[in-house]
Formats: sequence, structure tokens, C-alpha cells
Amino acid sequence: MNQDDELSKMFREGLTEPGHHAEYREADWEALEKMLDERGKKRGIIVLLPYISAVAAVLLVFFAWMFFKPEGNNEQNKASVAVNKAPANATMNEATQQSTTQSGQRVAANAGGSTQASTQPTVDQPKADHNTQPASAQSNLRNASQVIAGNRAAIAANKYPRKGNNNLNRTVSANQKEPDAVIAASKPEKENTQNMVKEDQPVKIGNEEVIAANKPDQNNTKTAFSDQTFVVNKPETVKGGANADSATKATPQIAKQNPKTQIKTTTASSGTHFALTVLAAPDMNGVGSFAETQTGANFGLLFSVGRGRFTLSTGAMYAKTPYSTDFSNYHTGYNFYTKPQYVSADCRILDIPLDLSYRLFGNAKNQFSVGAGLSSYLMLKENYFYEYADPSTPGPKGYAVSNRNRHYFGVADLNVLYQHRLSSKFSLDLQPYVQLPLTNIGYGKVKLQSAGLAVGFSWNIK
Amino acid sequence: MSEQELQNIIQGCVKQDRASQKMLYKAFYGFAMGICLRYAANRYEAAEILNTGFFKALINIKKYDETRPFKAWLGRIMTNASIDYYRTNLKVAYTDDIDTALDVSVNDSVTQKLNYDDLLAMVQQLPQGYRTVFNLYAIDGYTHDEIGEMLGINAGTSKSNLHKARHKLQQMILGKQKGETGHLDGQMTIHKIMTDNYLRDILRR
Repeated sequence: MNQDDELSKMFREGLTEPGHHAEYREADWEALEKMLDERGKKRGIIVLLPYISAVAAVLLVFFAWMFFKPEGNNEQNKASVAVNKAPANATMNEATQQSTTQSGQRVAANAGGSTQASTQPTVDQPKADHNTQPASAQSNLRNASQVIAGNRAAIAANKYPRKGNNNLNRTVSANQKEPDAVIAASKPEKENTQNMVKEDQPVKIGNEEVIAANKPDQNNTKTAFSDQTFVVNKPETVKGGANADSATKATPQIAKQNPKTQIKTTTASSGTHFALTVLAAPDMNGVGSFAETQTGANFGLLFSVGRGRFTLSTGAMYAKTPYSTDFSNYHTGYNFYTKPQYVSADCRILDIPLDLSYRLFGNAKNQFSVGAGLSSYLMLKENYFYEYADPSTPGPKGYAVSNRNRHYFGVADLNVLYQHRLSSKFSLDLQPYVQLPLTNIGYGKVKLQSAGLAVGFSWNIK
Repeated sequence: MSEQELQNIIQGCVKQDRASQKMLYKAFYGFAMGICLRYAANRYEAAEILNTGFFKALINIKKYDETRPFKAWLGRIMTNASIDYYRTNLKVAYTDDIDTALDVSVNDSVTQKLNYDDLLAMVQQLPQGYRTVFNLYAIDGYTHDEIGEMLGINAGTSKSNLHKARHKLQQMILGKQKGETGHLDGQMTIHKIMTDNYLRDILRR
């Protein structure tokens, strides 16, 4: 026996002889127990994740429907609410309320138009129905203006001439000094739009024609009307009591606000806009299917350019992508003596997406889009761990490779985006997405697919 | 612990019963820790390897073949956990080189009987790469080909590391015999600082 063998024997016998067992430490068990508990929680989350995702998707669709359902109904509802809040105003009669409720879109259309003035006599005259003749209405307006004289001057009165309605101009000029309560009165004013419009605009057939005739300087949109109605509904505006003059005042005030809203909306929808988005996204990763998934995480920055309903976005996402799969899904040139049963992978990926999204619905506050595109995967680190049927199998335990595999446009992206505008500059994004492989990914050449929910914070640069 | 008791505990572990898991852990803690201590640089590392190994054993307990000795199955898992740990910390595996080691005459006697603690301390002072190969070859009886496959190195590297490991152990034994451990301790301290710094970096990530 040579010296090396003696040395080995000495260590082998000395270190393996019984009786030198280390003392048990409770702290070590507690550490292991923690590992076992965490595994249980993780498994629980993975099991629940598909259900959580399904619920989230249903909620998203529901909220999208709530926000973007046909606005005609919304306007009707809003108008009704507005009138219902008005009872504090002693001058408002039931007939007015009814007609307002019935008016629907017409009410909205008139909120910013010159026809309101003609409707106001009805508001001011509790006994008058909404078929009141224009002549008497004007007479009532004059009377009302005398009563109200001395109240705060109406800035909006100066805007009336632009409406192109002579009768109205005259009425308004007579009512330049009006109380602040005008906005409350402006609600009932709307219901008589039809009457006055018939007189002022004989060619009027429907609401849209009313809009066109009375608001030549504005591009009336539903969004704008929605905002108008919203302003009208402000409870504090009811204070001063409604009358014909106050109603007269209300209309120009609203009209004054509308152009801003409209310009804003138009800019957002038709101009080119840019945005930076910071994203974080937990996701599930599986090979071939989502039957067996592991939870990963993504962080990144996206830059978006939008025009009209389309938005093109790109950027970089750093992804921690773990997954496990049957060894049959894993491809390697290594010749195993004993093939592993499973492969667990932990990859770090730089994901460069190029996506195009289309806005399905949207208003000033909320947008709902669908998108698709391609992602390039730059595999930064790939760690593979082999699990054998018999854990004591003396085969390789794993393999690691860095910066070797790149898959340009190798992954298809599909997503749905809900964007809620927090302010003119910032918005919050929720984006469920799926990434499907168009090529085999990584050293193991696996069909790696992911699904997740990205939460983002966008800065709307322009 | 009787064989029947062990089988009952294992059945409990299959059902993920926490009490059974703890009983199994306590029963084989000393045995498993003995293996891990040989592959680790210190008790802290050994405990980490031990828990990694036990974790694997407990979640794969269904795969245990009851016709085979449990101790052998668990021992293999601990060895594999040690190797995984080695692979994870591959960067510090070869921080020491034979060129920096003292030359030791082959005629020097290194056969003096040393106790368990002395031997363990010496093995733990080896650089990780040498220690792993020495354990696998000299103590656990694997061939160089097997070691090469397990560690992802070729058989020649395994032989080389074994030679260097033995060389260093001879130095340590001679140093201990001659009371000249100061110089060696200095070298090992430097290595340990490097290793500890690296481990801290890993833990921070």
C-alpha cells in the first residue's frame, strides 16, 4: 500500500467511523421546515393561479363593458340623475323632469349648444309644458331677466353671438346679469330643445342636426357631450334657483367648457402620442402547455408610439423564467448513461418585444386595447438541473450556459390592455398576455410559453 | 430505531406529515451531517447542504425503494446535494493552486493516527474543488470517470485535483506534526476570506 492509499485510508476510516455524529440542532430543523412551508405555499399559488387569472380576465371584461357600453344609455341615465338631484330647486317642475328624462341624447346635445336658451322658458315656468311656443318663451325670458338684474354678470353671455341664433342672442343679451344657479337650470332647459330648434332651425330632423346647426364651431362628439352632462350635474350649481335667465346663462358656461374637452379628446385620439411604461409582470411558464407551470417574474421599460387607434411599442424586459418539464421535451447533444426524468430550468432572459395594439374602446379616462407582436429572446443565463428517477443516480446534476442563445422574433405576443388614465400625464396599465414560441427556446430547445398579468405605470410624454 | 419504526416514519413522510418528517430528520441528522461536513468548509455550509439534501429527500420520498437500505439512499442524496453545492459555487473551487503550496517530500511520514476532528478540519480546509474530488474518490469510492461526469470535468482534472488535495493534506499533517501550522494557517485564512466574501456576494443577490 503506497503512501497515497494510506492517506486515503486514514481519512476514510477516520471520517466514516460511527460515533462521531454531529449534535442535532433545532435551528437547522426550523430552517428546513421553513423551506417545506414555502414550497407548500408556492404550490398553492401555482394551483390557484389559473383560477385567479380567469377571475381577473372576467373582471377585466366586465369593467371594460361597464366603462365602454353604449353612451346613449349613459347620457339618458345621467340626465335623469341630474334632474332628480334638482328638487332643491323650487322652480323646476315635474314636466320638465319628465321631458328631460325622455330627451336622452337630445339633452346631451343641447348642453353646449345655443338651443338651450330657447328651452329655458319652460324651466322658468312651472306650468309650461315642453311644447311652449318660442314667442312666449322669449317673453318669459325678458321678465326673468328683469327679476334677476343685479346678479353677477354672466361671462358666458359674450359667447352667445357665436352660436348664430338671433333669438337667442337677443335673449341672452337681455340676461347678461344672472345668478350662479344657472347650471342647475340648464338641465331642464334641455328638454325643450326640440321646440326651439324647430323654430330656429327649420331643417332640423334629429338631434345630430340640432348639434350641427347650433354648434358650428364645435365637433360634437359623444365624449364631449358626456362631459357636458357631467358638468351640468354638479349639485352645487343648483343653489341659486332655476329660472329662465339662469338657464340662459348655463348654456354658454357649458359651451365654454366644451371646446377644451373636445380638443383634448381629439388630440388624444388622432395625434401622435408617445409614452414610457414601467412594467412588472408575474407569469406562469410551461413547456408545450400550461399543465405544469412555474412562476416567474418580469420587469422592464417600454416605449410606445401611438397614432389614432394604433400603438406600436417596444422596449426591454428582464425576465426570470423558471420552468420544469419532462426530459423528453429537452434536447441536448450530451449522451446520458442514465437519462434524467425531469429537467428544471432557471433562465434569465432579455425580452425585446415589438407589439402593435389596436384600441377597441376608449374615452378620456379608460382605454381597452388588444395587441399582438413578436418578441426577441436574448438568453442571458440558462441553468438546467436534471432530476433522476433515482436521486442517487451518479449522472450530471445540471448544465449552465450564458449568452449563447438568441432568438430574434422567435416568440409571438398576444395581449389585452386596459389603461386607466390617472392624470393627463400618467396612467395605470393592466395587461394580461400570452407568449407563444415560434421557435425552440434556449439550450434545451424547448417550446417555452408564458402567460401573465403585467401591471404598468405609464408616463404619457405627449 | 427498528426497521418497522423507520418504515412507519417513511409512510408518514409520504403523506407529508410534518411530525414524521421531523422524526426522520432527527433520526438521520447525525449521519447526514457527517457526510455534509466532509464536503463543506464549515458547519454553516454543511447545515445548508444538509437541509437541501433533506428537502430533496422529503419531497422525493415516494421514490424511495423500501427494499434498499434507507441510509444508503439518503447518503447518496446528501452526496449529490454536496456536489450541487460545489457546482453552484464553482467560482471558488480552485482558488488555491498547487504552485503556491509547500513542497512536501514523499518520504515524510503522514501516517500518524489523527482523530476525527483533526481529519475533518483538514478536509474542510481544502479548497472546495480538491475537497470534493478527495471526498468522492478517497472516501466515497467513486472512479475518476464517474467523478468527471458528476462534476462536469474530465477524468484528468479529477486526478489532478485528487493529487493536489493529497499534497495539501500531507502538508497539513506534517505541519501539525512539526508544529508549523502557522504558515499554512495563514494561507488557509486567506482562502477562507476569499471564499466567505464570495459567499456573501451570492447571498446578497
